[in-house]
Amino acid sequence: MKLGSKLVVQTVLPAVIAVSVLLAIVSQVASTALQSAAEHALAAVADARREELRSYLARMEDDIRTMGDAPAVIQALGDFSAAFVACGGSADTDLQQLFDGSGALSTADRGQGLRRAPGSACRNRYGQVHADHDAFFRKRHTSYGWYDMLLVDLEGNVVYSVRNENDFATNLLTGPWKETGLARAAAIALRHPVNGVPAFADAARYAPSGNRPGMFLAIPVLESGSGRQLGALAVQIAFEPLDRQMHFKDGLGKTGEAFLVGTGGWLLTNTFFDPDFSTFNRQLTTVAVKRVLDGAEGSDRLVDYRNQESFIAYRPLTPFAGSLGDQPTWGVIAKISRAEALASLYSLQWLMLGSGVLISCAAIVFGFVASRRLFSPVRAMQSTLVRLAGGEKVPIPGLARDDEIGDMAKAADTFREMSDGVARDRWIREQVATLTTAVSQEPRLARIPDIILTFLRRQLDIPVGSFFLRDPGGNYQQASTQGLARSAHDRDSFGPGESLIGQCARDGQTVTLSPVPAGLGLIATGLVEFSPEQLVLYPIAHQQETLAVVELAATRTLTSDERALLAALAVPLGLHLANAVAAERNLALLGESREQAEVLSRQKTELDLRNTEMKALTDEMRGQAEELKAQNEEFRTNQEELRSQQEELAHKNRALEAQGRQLEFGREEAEARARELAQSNQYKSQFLANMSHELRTPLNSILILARHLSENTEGRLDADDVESATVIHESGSQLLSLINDILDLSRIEAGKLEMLAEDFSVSDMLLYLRRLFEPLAHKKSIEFTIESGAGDPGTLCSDRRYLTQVLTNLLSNAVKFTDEGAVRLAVREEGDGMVFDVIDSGIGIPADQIEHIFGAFQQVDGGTARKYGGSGLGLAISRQLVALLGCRLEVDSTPGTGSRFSLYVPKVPRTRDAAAAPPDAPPPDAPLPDAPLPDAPPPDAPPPDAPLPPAITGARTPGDRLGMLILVVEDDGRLLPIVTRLIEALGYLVRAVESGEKALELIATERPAGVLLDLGLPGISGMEVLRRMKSDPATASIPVYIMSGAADTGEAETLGALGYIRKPITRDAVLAAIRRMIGHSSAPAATDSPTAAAQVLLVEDDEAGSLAVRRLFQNLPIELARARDGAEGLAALASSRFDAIILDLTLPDMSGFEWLERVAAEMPRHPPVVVYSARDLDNAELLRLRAHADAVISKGRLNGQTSVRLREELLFALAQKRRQASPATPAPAAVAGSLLIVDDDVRNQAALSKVLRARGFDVGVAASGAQALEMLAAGRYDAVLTDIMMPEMDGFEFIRRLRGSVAGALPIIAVTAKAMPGDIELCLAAGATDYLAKPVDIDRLLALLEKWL
Amino acid sequence: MSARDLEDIEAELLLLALRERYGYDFAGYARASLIRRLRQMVEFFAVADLADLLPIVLRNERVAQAVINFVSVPVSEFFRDPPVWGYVREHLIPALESFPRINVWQIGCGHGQETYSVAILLRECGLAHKARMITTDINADLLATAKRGRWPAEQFGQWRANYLAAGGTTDFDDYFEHTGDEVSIRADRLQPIEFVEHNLVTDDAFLETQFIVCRNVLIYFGDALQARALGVFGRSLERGGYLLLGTAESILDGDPAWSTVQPELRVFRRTTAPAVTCTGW
Repeated sequence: MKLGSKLVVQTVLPAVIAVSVLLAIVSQVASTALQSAAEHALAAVADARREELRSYLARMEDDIRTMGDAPAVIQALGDFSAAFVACGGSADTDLQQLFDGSGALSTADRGQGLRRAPGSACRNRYGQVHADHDAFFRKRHTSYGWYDMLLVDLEGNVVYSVRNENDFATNLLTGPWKETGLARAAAIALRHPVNGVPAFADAARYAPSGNRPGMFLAIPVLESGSGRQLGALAVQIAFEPLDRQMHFKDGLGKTGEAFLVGTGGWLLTNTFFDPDFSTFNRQLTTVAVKRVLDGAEGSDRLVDYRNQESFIAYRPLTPFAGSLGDQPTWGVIAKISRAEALASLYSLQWLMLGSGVLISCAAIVFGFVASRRLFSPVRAMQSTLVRLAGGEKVPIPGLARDDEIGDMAKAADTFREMSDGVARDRWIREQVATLTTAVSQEPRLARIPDIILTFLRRQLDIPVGSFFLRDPGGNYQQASTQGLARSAHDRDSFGPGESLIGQCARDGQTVTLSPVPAGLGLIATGLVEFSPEQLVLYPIAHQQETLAVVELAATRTLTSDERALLAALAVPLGLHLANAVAAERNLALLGESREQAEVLSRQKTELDLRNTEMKALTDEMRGQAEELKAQNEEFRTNQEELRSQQEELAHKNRALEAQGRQLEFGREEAEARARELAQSNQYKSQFLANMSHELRTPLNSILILARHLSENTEGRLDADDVESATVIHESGSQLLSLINDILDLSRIEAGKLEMLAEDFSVSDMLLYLRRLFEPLAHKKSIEFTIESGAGDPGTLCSDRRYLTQVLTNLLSNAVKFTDEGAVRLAVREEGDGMVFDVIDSGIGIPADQIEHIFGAFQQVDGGTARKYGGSGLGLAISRQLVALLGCRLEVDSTPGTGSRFSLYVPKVPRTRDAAAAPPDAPPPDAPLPDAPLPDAPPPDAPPPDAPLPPAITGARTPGDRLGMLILVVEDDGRLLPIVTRLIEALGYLVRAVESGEKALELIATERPAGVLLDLGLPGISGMEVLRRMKSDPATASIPVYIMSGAADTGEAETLGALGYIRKPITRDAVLAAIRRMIGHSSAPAATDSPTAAAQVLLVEDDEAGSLAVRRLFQNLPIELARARDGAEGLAALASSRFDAIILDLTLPDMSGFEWLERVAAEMPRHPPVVVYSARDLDNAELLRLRAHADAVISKGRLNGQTSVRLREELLFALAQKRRQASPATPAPAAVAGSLLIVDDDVRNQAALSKVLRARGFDVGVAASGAQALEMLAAGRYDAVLTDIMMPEMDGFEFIRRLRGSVAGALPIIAVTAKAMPGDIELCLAAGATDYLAKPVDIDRLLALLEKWL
Repeated sequence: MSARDLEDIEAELLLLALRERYGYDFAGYARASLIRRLRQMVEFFAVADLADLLPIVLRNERVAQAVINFVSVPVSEFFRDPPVWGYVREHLIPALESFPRINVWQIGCGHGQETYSVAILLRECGLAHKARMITTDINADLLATAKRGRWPAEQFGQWRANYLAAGGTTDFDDYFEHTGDEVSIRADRLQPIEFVEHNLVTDDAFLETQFIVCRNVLIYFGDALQARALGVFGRSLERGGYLLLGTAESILDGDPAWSTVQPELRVFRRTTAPAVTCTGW
């Protein structure tokens, strides 16, 4: 946009906008004011009309009241009533006939008419009365402006009417018009008269008046004096006066009007716009009418009944508010059309718009003119500048002006001068560049002067020039002349300072001679010679050294530009000249070095020659090396030979050895005998070990059964039976302990024990022994003391378990064989070891028996065995253990006074090293407990060091991980291990902590199944732990049992503890606590289970097998119910609830497969099943089992380790059951299609077919490609799912064959564990429709099936 | 810098490439023999030196796989580490007997010595009738070699000694036929063995197994690949099944899905069922 337009726009536009805004605001304000003025005017009109109407009606009320009291009226009513009565029953017809149909007789006819009426006295009399009074009423009727006046007697008869319309002479209470407004008003005035108060009937169409609208006022008429009511005076009010009131058009303009609406919106006055009579002809339902009839008043902008936008003011009005009868609400409505009301506004707006446009136009025109005047010098300046920029030299206008334009012109002039300077500089630089380029491209120094001269002559238009170059001697030698006619001077070489040339060179300053003295005809043409106008000598220097001097003879004075060029040339030319001089020198040097190089090259050729000779020599040497290698080879062959000779030798040696062996045979045999002997001892031990296993199995059953019998829970046995059972149990127990001892001994002898040396505190061990033996000694009334000297006996490094066992044996023997006196255990240090003395005052041992007591099955004499009981193996075991421990046992005894057993224990074990004790690394899944028990373990306090059955040491076996966790919180370091092992022995996981803080932490993270909580803890007390646990909803449900030495105050229970164990703790108490806690925590899962123990159904026909399983779980809170055959199993399952099932496959009445399938069919949510069977299973059978069983376990033949897995799997199944309710299997939908699964893996078959069947598919399973092809040939399938990695016929082959034969378009989905793109391509290339990667995502599989089916 | 030093650096770079790009970690491998094998690769691919091999290995997965195959060929022998196999014979096989079907998956067949060792154990413990043996390798050539079951007789004495040390009960020689300088296995005396191509780096479990033998394969794997391989084993092993690794290998600590049965011999056990039973493939 040009500046001019911009100026116009920027100055004029705001003005125009401002005017427009102003006008808009003014018009808005005016409009509002006008509207509100119109509304106010209208409201005033409406108010005025209402007031007028109101006063009119009030006046009417006063009028009728006056009339009601008027004696003339009273008189008239009395007369008319009497006349009417006189007419009797036919008064109505008779009297009505007096008047013609129009209701009134002309005055002229009336009297005659009456008189001429057919002979009726009644009429005559009435006529008389009528004549007396009619004039009065007519007069009043006219003056009051009523439509009609009527007199009604007390019976309700209309005895007089001015108009004599159809209502005349009728009875208003009973006659035909009893429903009309008149009757209503009259009835009030007659029946409920209030003196001086009229009754009003609202406007309605009135039939007696020919259905014209009518409204009535009636007032009772009383006899003056007596106050007796005579009847009533009624008037029919005329509408015309109302009309007149309303049609007063003052203040309403042309379209305005006011009118009255009555009940129901009927117009009570005529409208201005209806040509016809509109009273009661038009019913209005406009908004204003509705509002006013609802009693509202106001004014508003609304649409009127003519659908015109109007201002409407409305005022409600209740006519005759003080009267009786109807109290309708009428509305006075005044309105005016908006268009008219606002007409003046519109004209105002037009006026403003017009003036606005005028102002804008004027502004624009003015703007244009002004900008044109302002900008013409600017535009001239602009065009000048454009031309200047284009290179034209034009005068700049306006330099003389002293306004801004003048300043601008001066500035432009300055710029022009600067740009001229720049152009000159550029010209000089270009010239310099041209010349220096030309010079630098010339390699030879000799030609450079010529080039420079030529250039200068051409550029400066100079005819003659001469160039003096400094030679190596420092003289300036003429190197080139141009345009010189003859030798003007015979010298062409000058020393520095010599002549002007030399002087110029020395000074390094340009010398200008001007004017040149005449007569020197230096410049010559063919015709003339003339002298130059100016002579210029200027030096070419480099680094303050003048290299050359140029002399120029010009025919004119050189311009300043040309001089500047010469000055500018001096430096670069100097540089180039210097370079050229140096280059000339370098060139010379180069020539020299090139010659030297040639010499060198000749020498190199010679060297090469020698090298070749050397190489030939090397080749020769290599040949020799090859030879050497060959010799080496030969050498190796020789070595081989040597080796074979050696082998031969060795062979001979072996033969010799064989002979030697034969010689030694005799000796070896002898040794073998000895070994055999030792071995047979070993065999014996092994045999014993095996035997005792075998013995213990039945014995266990005997013990359990005898115990059961002796408890006599069902009360069926008498005392003798119980006694017998008890004896059986006791004998059995003894037998078992004997067998355990034998086993123990045999294990030691068989070298199956492993010593585990560890540091332990002796005082701890002594404490344990004290606890163990004090009660026993006390029972026998003998003294028992432990003497450990002063101070702590310190620690020992040995196998604590076995050392304790030895001491236990010695002490229990001592107590056993001492009837009075004391048993002492004395501990002392001796050398680098410790000695334990067990001293008793018992029966003692004869010297010759001492050796025997350490033999197995030996006591001092046979009799003692009976008296003192015991197996007699204790000392034998002890001795073996002592040997294994690297200890020493000594006996000193005197029969009758007592014995002393001294056990020497080295502080550091003299280990018979590990090899001596054959490794007996218990396998992780070691068989069941068969641990030896110490000789006399008190039943309720298991020794802390008692060897624990390896299979139930908790965390070691995976099966127990699945069990439940019990948390023990106890700070007593001695008690803790006892409780822990006790719980572990029950098959639960145990975590033990010593403080309340740790306990809370662990409870939050591990969620144990139960907590055994000591109350006296350091830090947070046990009670506080309990409180916190129970106040946290997450842990509140975990059962807690309290252990405490203090008496139970009941506080724990109120806090929510499950129970309370008073210390000292017994095994049974802990057991009961654990059972209760477990029962409690699994209670929600097994509500109908009477006990806490898991209920397991064992379906097994074999007694031995059943016993084995029973034994396997005897230490766990599991109750086994056994079914001997399938039917019994099904019955048991139907009658009670089980947590798991162990199933044997060979049952007498049905196969395990059938049994399982029946269970699955009858109980969709059956308990988990673990199959335990000795049968070999083929794939199909396995698949059948896998459909319903959780695990399948084979009974092994190797060494019974398979039962361990039975235990694990059962525990796992139970844990699973606790953790998650088995998901409801979805009811199979309608058959979604039939599928063939081809897979060699049973798990895949089972998993897939299960899932797909649940989704409603009909599933066939083939274990190999061949089988699948057969099945496909025989039956119809909608799709095939095939594994790829199968033996014999792999998936690719199978798909190819299938495609080659029957398949057609059958969808084949390949399932492959291989994920490389190549593998997938192979599947598709073989003919698979699609593929799926393992592990199979079932949703993807279903999506694929849906896609292809 | 000598040519040997240069080669060392090149080998280092190549191994770095294999580790960073493909997850194979040869750090635990004897450096000298590794370099010897790499040198053979240079010859095989007809490149000038190891440095020339580097870009190809980085860009071309097939070449990389070939290099890995070639470099990771284990040198094996029958009943290598006899204590391991003694333990298997004494403890694992009896425990495995509790499974009605014993699928043994041996990974990395080498030249077959270990594969046939397992087969011999199964036979001697009387479990061959219900066992199925699958051996897998990434290298089809190795599989073919292993299947052929023929080896130079040089080491036979060592193998026999191993067998006896591992508690072998019959005459080891009965399993072999001697022909000239070679011995070959008499496969007809053992149960059939399936030789299958399988890549632990990309492929997943394909069979429910009860015993996985994967010795000296994981040592080439970086942490991520090892974790993946263990995932595959976990998906394959039935609950209670066993995993036998090489003596230099271990499974990640503290994974509750595994329990350590014998830490020194690297025997582990699967303690939980496969993650999702309904997608149990």
